[in-house]
Amino acid sequence: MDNRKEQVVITGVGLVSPLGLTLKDFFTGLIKKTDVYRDIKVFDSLKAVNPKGMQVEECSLDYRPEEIILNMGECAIRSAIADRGLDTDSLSNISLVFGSGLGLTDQLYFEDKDIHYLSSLGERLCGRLGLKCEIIYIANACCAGSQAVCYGVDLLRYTDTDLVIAGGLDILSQAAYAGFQRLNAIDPDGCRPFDRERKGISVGEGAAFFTMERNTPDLNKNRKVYCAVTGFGMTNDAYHVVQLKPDGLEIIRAMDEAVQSSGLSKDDIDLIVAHGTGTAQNDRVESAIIRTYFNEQLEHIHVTTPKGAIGHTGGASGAFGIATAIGSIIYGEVPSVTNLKTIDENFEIPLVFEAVKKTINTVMVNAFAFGGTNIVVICKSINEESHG
Amino acid sequence: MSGKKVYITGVGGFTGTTPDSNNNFKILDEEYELSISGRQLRGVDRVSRLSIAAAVSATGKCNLKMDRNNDREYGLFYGTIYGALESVHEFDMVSVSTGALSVNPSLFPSTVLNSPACQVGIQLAISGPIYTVCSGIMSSLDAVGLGYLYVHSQAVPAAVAGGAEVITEMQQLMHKGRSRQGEAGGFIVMETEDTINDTSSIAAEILGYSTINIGASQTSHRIAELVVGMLEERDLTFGDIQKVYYGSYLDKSVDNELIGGLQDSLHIKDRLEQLETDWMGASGVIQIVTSLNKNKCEDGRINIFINIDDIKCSVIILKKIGG
Repeated sequence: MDNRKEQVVITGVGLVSPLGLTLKDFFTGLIKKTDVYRDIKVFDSLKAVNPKGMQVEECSLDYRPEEIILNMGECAIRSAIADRGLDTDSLSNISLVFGSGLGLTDQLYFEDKDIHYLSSLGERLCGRLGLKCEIIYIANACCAGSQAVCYGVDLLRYTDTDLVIAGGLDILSQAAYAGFQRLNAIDPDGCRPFDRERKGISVGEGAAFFTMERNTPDLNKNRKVYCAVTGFGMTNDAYHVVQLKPDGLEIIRAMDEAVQSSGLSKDDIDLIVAHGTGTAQNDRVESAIIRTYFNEQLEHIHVTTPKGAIGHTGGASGAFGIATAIGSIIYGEVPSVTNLKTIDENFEIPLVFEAVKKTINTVMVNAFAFGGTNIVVICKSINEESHG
Repeated sequence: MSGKKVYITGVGGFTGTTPDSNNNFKILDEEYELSISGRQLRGVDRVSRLSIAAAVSATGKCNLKMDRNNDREYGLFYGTIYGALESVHEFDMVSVSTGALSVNPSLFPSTVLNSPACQVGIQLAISGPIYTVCSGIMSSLDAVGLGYLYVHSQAVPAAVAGGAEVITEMQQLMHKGRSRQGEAGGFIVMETEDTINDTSSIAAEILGYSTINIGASQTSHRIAELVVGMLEERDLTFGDIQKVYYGSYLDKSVDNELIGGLQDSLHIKDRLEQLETDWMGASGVIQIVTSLNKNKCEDGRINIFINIDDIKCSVIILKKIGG
């Protein structure tokens, strides 16, 4: 990807996470390794044995998928708008770009003739928010949220869109739980990314949204700017619907595209927020490609992932990776990999065992999806940046 | 927005012609399976097969080199309302009725909403960005529009874009369209002059794409304003318009009012063709494919594709090239 000129910045953050409803709560939870791994009591119809995961507290009482996902999305988007201090009436061209891997899929359980599917999620969200905006729903599985952010960057660079609200959301899904359990991809002891004893994911849920706009000197004077999204890489394995391509070459290409399109070098990366699902194959491939791509630069890089703390949030996971990057940049601290006790001896990457205080300027955020899509986003502190 | 000219160099599609018991148009499997015979399709569901067949048909008509040794990074843009709904529903029903451990794990991949697009990507060895866009009746038109923006801005050298829908029991429960529905799968290939090997494959040039939220103010004036703006930006006049292809999910009375307003504003009385069969999310790309396939478009004339629901409206303008 080239030909991307204008700098795009994140000016508002809105989260609904198992660790809390603000960026501060979410990031503090990551730093303190707050344990939110609990029994899931809402999967009555699943007949699963003791399902566990990371649930948003406010959603734990009643399992009405459509209501939950709309509430989560509405809450996160409203928070992002409020954080940015947005007067929506003053802007004419707003786009809502959201990613969700499963969307309203779980509503199918209820066999209600009034169920809504796929695209109606965006319309219903927008209706609740009362926003006059263009809506784009990207359903690219586990990288949907970060792909939505990338699309938002392109909208701001190539069209007359004034403001983009982009992010991802997914709720605890009975369908996904059944599938992952049947594939033996759920770790009964909780997700332990990159650990020698790792056995799979934990399911999680949440919504993470960002307001994004073009950077200008005026913008930076008048409101807070969390970071710039300087570039991204987007590739496809074209290999298998649920398996990563073992050689990881397309992921490496996405990493390189992201670095190149940002006008940076590998030396500039301070932190990698890995996809880090905790499955045997994902962590093996991802650690190998991080080692291969960065090699000696890893001496000054840290690698972390939030999935041990909040679980795999599906289509929101890439957006939560970006939230982790933002937290690290603005709070000057790198969270540890929750539940990582003994690193797999084959992994030669600098994983974070205990939170590290460090100035973080540039973060690479990885997200890989069922279907083979690889999204790598670069977030950069704007403190040292020139505008434009 | 400056960028490269974007040409359509391949079109392919299948539309249902066999009425089912509800008088909707189904596609017989043998109508499309021939074009994908020999591919490894074990475990690939029906909507994905139809998608692959349509994409293979489109790419086969241009000289785009698509194989695993190709170092070009093509993009894939897929639009759908229902996608892999049938597979999701089948999977769900097993887990609900007999428990999570009873589901067939080999069916799990098809329950991912983006699985049809991914299956196309795997079969065509597409290594660039893949998007699954879900925006109601606009889905495939938005997918084409997004692909156009990627090629136009040179983010990718070429793109395959389109969509597919199949009729299923669950889809019938959900669908709220008012006209006869039909199964369909359609794709187009978009390239710049830098990648085109054979200029005789050029069928049309895409001149622009735009999408707006219309919210409560769904007036023909707003849409006409958008179209006029797009035409003026390209130094085109109403006289250049050969036909406007229109597809909507609006109430009939609103539709009639809108169409009348558009015909007046754009001076296109008798030149607006309304979508008769509801191809659902594939509607936009099927309108494009059929307009080009049947040589309905005259060389050098402008055709405008408008898809609309009560939330938003998407528009693509293209110019037919060649006979």
